[in-house]
Amino acid sequence: MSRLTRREFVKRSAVLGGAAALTSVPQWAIRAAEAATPAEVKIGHLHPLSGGLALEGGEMRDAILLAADDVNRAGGIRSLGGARVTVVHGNTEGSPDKGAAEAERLIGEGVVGLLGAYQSAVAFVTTQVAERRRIPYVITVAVADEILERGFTYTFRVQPNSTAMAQYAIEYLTTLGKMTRTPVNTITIMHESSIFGVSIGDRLVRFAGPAGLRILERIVYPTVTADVTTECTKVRAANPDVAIFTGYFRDGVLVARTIREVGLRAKGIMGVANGAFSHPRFSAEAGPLASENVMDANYYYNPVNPRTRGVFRAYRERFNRDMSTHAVYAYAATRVLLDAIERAGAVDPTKIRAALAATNMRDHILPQAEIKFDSKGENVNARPVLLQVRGGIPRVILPERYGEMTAVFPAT
Amino acid sequence: MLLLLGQAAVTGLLTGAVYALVAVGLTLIFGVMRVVNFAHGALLMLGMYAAYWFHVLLGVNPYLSLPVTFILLFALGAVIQRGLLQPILAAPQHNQLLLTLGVMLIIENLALFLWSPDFRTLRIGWLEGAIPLGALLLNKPRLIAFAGALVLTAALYLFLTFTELGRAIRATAQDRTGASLVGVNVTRINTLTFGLGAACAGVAGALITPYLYTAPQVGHVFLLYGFVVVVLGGLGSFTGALAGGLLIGIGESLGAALLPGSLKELVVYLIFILVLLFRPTGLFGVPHRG
Amino acid sequence: MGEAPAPVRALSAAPKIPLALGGLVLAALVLGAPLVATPYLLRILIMTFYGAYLAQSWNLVGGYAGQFSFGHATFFGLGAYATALLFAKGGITPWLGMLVGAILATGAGVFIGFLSFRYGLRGPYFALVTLAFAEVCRIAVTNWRALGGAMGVLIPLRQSLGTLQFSEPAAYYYIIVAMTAGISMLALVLERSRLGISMEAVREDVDAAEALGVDTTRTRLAAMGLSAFCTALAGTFYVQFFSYVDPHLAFGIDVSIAAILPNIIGGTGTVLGPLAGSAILVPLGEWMRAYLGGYRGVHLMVYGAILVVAIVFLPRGLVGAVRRWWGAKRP
Repeated sequence: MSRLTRREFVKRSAVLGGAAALTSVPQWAIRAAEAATPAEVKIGHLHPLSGGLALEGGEMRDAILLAADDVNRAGGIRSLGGARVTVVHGNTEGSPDKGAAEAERLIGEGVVGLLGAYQSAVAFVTTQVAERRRIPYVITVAVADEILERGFTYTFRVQPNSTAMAQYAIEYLTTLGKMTRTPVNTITIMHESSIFGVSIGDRLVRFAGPAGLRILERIVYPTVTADVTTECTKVRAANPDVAIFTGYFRDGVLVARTIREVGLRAKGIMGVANGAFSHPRFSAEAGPLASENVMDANYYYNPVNPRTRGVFRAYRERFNRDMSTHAVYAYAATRVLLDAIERAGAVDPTKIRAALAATNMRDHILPQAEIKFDSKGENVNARPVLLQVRGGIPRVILPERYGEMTAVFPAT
Repeated sequence: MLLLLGQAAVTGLLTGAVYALVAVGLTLIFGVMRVVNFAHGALLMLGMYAAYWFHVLLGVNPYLSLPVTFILLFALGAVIQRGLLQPILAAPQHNQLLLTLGVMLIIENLALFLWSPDFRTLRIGWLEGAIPLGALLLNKPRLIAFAGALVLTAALYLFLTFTELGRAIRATAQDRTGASLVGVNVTRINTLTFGLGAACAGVAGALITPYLYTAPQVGHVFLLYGFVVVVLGGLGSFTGALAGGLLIGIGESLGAALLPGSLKELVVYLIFILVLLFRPTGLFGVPHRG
Repeated sequence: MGEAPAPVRALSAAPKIPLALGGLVLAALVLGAPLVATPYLLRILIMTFYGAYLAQSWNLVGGYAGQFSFGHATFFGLGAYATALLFAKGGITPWLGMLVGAILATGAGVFIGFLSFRYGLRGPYFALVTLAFAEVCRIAVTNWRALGGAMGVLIPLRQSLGTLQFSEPAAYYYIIVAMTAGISMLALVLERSRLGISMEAVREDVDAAEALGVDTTRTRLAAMGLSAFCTALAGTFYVQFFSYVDPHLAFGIDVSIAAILPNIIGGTGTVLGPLAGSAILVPLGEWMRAYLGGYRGVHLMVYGAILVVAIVFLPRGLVGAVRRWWGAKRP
């Protein structure tokens, strides 16, 4: 994308013969950016709205709509004369190639920023489209570290990446052991087989050793499967102090029910970024016996901040369900993007990118200090919290300053 | 270790019976019409939703609503066959396969539209927990699904062997032209067969609802395995589908116990390829002609 | 949207001059498209030609030789992974990688074909065994660390002719247009060749072909190998265009279906079938998602319905329907 390579490309394509020399595509999409005070500002999002992950995608779309409306109700983008924020929907269907086409379409419709993508595979491809078209892209949820290791300057991530998730998860686990004077020496790690589970699992292995935790067994199960009884029996046979699980909602509920059934006797059951264990509907779906006191180290909200409650209430009233972890981050990512547009005072994507890079947001609902990005685009203060299902509701137990309750540990 | 393997074998057996029931429906349809039914997983999903809604809205136990599920799915299957498949039975075989693929897309996304992508779990108090058998644990709803699958397969077998209609179905499966020559209404048999196949899928769905999640795409879990079992057992063979289902279930479960990673799926396909290569007619199949 | 590459049209019909003219216009349209298309439209065009190329590759064995493979993802994935891994881990140019992938895929195609045909697996058996091989590849690669595992392979971004990466999508457009034109020409040549005639005989009736002295096994193996080779190149294109591949994208059932569908809609065993099928299906899919994609699943419902209607009313595909209509008009 540098000028040099482009020139080189043109030169070489001349050798290829006429055809490729026609590549100077007219960039229609250099939008009417200079229009001084636009009536509306369009942002786009790319999430799976159909297919196996439609549940999560839909929850995130709702959160983005809520964030946009919150800004609109407070007077829109003030630096642009109160321009209203409009959200344009992109449905990735969970596929990178479809996601890329949708990204291109949204950019064609004049969005000045993109949000996405829930799946790392889709994020890899769509951030590349955004980078080439120079449109800022804020990742809502997608854990793979590698997304930001490609040198992209237009991509930012609010959510903790898989390294941060695993590192903090292990740290919380050892803290928990010390606080409750319950030694935790052995763990098992069981996760689903896609990028999500594997990248978290790999990093848990990396951080467990130095923290003095012995891994008795690491078990991988296919993301879409009818049965995990045998896998769960392996966990029970290993008899760890704490059993760790990473998965999506559908398999997470199945795992929780099955682990309860095989009669695991551990001091604790803990998820890491588990799509089920800290989902508001977990207890209702898995049942109290399988869910009570289950922990999860996950990206989530800041319960101490009174604003959080307002956002949660508004979401509940409007969409008739509670905000899930990924909905919280979709909301936060949208607010970060809109905050940058506000500070840029322009709909020029380059200026918005610069404003994003200079983000320093204190007023947010995440359990962390101010949101700001490092040179790669990672949120430097991003961290998960440790939650525990109590009375059917996931509550924050660590770190202490965000804690709603003290931990029940050992849990049985 | 021995305990783990024992538990794995038992679990595999229970899961395998459900694979078998899915495959029985597929093999019936294939045997009579030579149609590879991609919509089978979607029909199973509808059976799950039927059981789910009967329980949630009317408070009916999923096992008691089974007959209704059976009839609903039978009717739907018959309609799909008569309205869509029958007109193109003479067309090349892959057309029928892709037609059922289109039907699958419609049903799955209709479910998504109507019932949202939420994952729904049925929780019934008396079904929670497991029955100990020595050191092994038998999950109650799985045990019931296992029994249900066996009973339904046996019932179908008896129906096909000992009733007039059943004999007509088998005659059609063996020789379509011959059957029509001796006065069998082949079109009606086709409709009946597809209805029965769909009903099998629906019942399989209803049986697994108490222990699995219900969602629009849940059928994918069973579809490919269903195909594997059908071919493994010998296309059109009932006993084969049953044996194949149990074999795949146990193989998968032992694979999960013994192999690293998510290689348990690999066991299933390797068994499949090996059987197909060394016994291409399947475990119980008769020699076939294209 | 009927951008069939011009030479195909010009060769395949009788009244030469008006058709040649039409072909020239079409060629001008196809080649000039990037000059006027928006980036979104250009991407749809690229995906349309890519779909056409992939479908034409399948057509070589699935259409002409009548061997209904449901596992072309195996060959696609081998092409994609060979290219991606050699470049990402070994720094080897995709020019070489694509050749390695294509040769691997050819080997795999002949191997699968050999095992299947030796045991007389036909029809649905063949379809399901090829599907099983693709699944085996998907699961094996998912669990194989050295090949990237579930993470897949990210291609280091370095644009040059040597790395086959370009900053302008138009370059990819011309490449895939050229590939589609090339494979369609290959299909045309094949139609008239000895091998092509043997393939047709095998498609109509294997036993009869055998009786007539056609070496049916060799014919089918040749068709498999050729088709696998071409399919692998589609995998290379995918990797170069998207700079990323994972086990599901490479070996998943979706790839196999994508290779088949345009053929069914357009008409199997014809040069124009997969081209027409892709020219309809890909833009249709994109635009339905664009307009209906926000309403959970409605666009896929409609897509499925269109598929069903097309199969019921056009059992021989578009090309078959046009031919019949043409034949009825001029007895």
